[in-house]
Amino acid sequence: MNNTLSADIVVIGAGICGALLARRLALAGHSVLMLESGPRVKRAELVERYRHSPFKSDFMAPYPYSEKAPHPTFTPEPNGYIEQAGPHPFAAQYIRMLGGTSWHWAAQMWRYLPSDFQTHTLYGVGKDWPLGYDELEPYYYEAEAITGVGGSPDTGSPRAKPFPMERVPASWFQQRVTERLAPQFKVIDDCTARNSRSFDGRPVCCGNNNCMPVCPIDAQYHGGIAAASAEQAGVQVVCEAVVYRIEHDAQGRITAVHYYDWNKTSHRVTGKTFVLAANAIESARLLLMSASSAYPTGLANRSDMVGRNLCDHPAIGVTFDMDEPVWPGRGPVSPCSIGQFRDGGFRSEHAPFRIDISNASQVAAVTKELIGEGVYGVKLEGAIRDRASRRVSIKNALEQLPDPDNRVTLGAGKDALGLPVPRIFWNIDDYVLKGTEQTRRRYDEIAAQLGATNIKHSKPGKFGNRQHITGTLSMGADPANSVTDPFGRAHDHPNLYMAGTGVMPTVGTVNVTLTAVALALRTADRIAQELSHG
Amino acid sequence: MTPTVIGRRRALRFVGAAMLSGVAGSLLSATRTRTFAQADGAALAVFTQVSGVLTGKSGFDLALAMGLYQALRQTTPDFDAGLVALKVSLAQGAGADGVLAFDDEHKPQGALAQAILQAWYLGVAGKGAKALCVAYIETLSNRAVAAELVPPSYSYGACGSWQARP
Repeated sequence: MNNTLSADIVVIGAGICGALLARRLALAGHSVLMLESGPRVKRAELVERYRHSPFKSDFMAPYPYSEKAPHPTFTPEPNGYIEQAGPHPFAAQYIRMLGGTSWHWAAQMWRYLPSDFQTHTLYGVGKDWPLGYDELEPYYYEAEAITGVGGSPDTGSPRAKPFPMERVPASWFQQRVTERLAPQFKVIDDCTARNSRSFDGRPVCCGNNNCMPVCPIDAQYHGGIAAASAEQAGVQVVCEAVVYRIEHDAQGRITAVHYYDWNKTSHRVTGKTFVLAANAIESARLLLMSASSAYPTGLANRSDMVGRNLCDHPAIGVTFDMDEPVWPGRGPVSPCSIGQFRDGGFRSEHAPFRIDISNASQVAAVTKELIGEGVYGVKLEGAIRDRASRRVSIKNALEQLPDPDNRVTLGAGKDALGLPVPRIFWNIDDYVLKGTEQTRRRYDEIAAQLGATNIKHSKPGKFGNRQHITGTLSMGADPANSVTDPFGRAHDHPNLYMAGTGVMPTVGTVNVTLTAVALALRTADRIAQELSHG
Repeated sequence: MTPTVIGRRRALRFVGAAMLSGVAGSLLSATRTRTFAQADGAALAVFTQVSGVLTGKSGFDLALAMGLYQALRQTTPDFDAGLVALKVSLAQGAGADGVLAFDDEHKPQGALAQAILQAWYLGVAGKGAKALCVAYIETLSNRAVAAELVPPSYSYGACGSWQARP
């Protein structure tokens, strides 16, 4: 056992939340150590792996898979890392690598609506958060300023200051769809951390149309940039460090964490304050693995809430061919959406949803389709051009209500380090199913307005995962039914904090990263306050 | 920012005649290319003839054709024999109006036809764990749309240049 590492603050997990929290504390003068289970990989390598991959529609394909820090993979075959125990598979995708999962996203950075924080009070469903929009607003802005967010002002989320970044201009595709769908549907620019000017030492977007799975030029912000900025701020980073146990004393104070390096040598790391930021699934897994005689159900789990209330945005989709050539594939991949179904009195009856209109190139998808239909010869090229120019792909994000039975536990299997794999039970309730019916109606209306042919809805009863994973470490005022307090501090352990989407009690109707980052910055401030008084 | 109109063929212009993705690049050194062309010229000729019928194109880049052929041979059992049978079926008229139609007896040839089309149009030979990516920017699908799009991960142009009608 090696016993050499120590810092005031030890952060477990170097994703966007852990890294920006670590950076903030390092800038405030604290010694910070960040442990990452996965490897350090350069962007150029990821781009090359993408270009050489036979599985270009699998966003995980460019990312290295590490037996010692496993994550779910899907090609060529699913690796079954997560044991699926429920009626719907929770097909989580996350990246255990320095920088984490937001390496492969479209930089969607949305604020919640004020009503998203109090759905129980307003609509009688879900949970109220232990803080409101106004308390988080300044942190929302800070997160936007660090990452360079621009977007439509008409989102329903009030702003004290304008967006720090101008929006990237809309493609012809987006303009035409917007014009054709008005006035019944209002298509708005997404809020994204994407450069429309040189910013933060990174270039302007030049339309690589590859945001997912990897931006070749870092025109969009992601966790890799966050991790690099943390190191620049003085955070010490150790990669290939798989934390497998959190150690505590008789009073419940965290005294150390133990990690395996990839040779399975164990190391013990001490500190004053510990932050768990290893994503909503792996963080819950680690707390459960850290069970001890004093905490037999896992650490931070006197409430029995660790791992529970797992939510994502279940998604359904539709594709069709519009009646005019609009050529998706020019510019960023996720530029616009319809937000008018996110809020309203109906939320007491059925799930609200956002509708996302894709601008990803459809060339590969229509080519596979046409070859499968037997089209060949001179007809094939013309057919590819025709469909690729008119193919519209839409999906949604439905708000799922927190259900304690939807949960992460420890599975029966073991990974290569002998640690129990995660096991997930996930179900979809009537609230979501009713929201799905509403969505289908809207999809058909949208298709009709765009003169659509070849309409294909996703399979009824099947849902995709949007990878907006929340709830497993829910914050709350009451220790009896939450894992952390309103600042992300574990109720049961005074020097253990948590950051990341897992602390969010509800999943809302938008992508969750901006909210998680804002909360992480607020948690960092709280830690700094505690340390300055301690 | 004023959008500027930039020729969409930029990405392909920089590629050169026969730049192949890693696997094909390693399959074919200059020496192996020459040796291969001499030893298996006949087999390659059948492949390019069948490819011509399936794609409606002629004048294939030799290195690309050889790369795809090698990869298909590696990932498809009895590829050469299958090619000969497919050539016969196509000559007998297995596709009218640009749609291939194979009866149950000739299903394997239908599958082979699709595998060859996948190779030319998507640059990938084989399926699952055996799949090989041979080409990307040179694929026929990316070439088909080169006036309007770039292959994902390549630069389209100045920020906002995508505002203009393609």
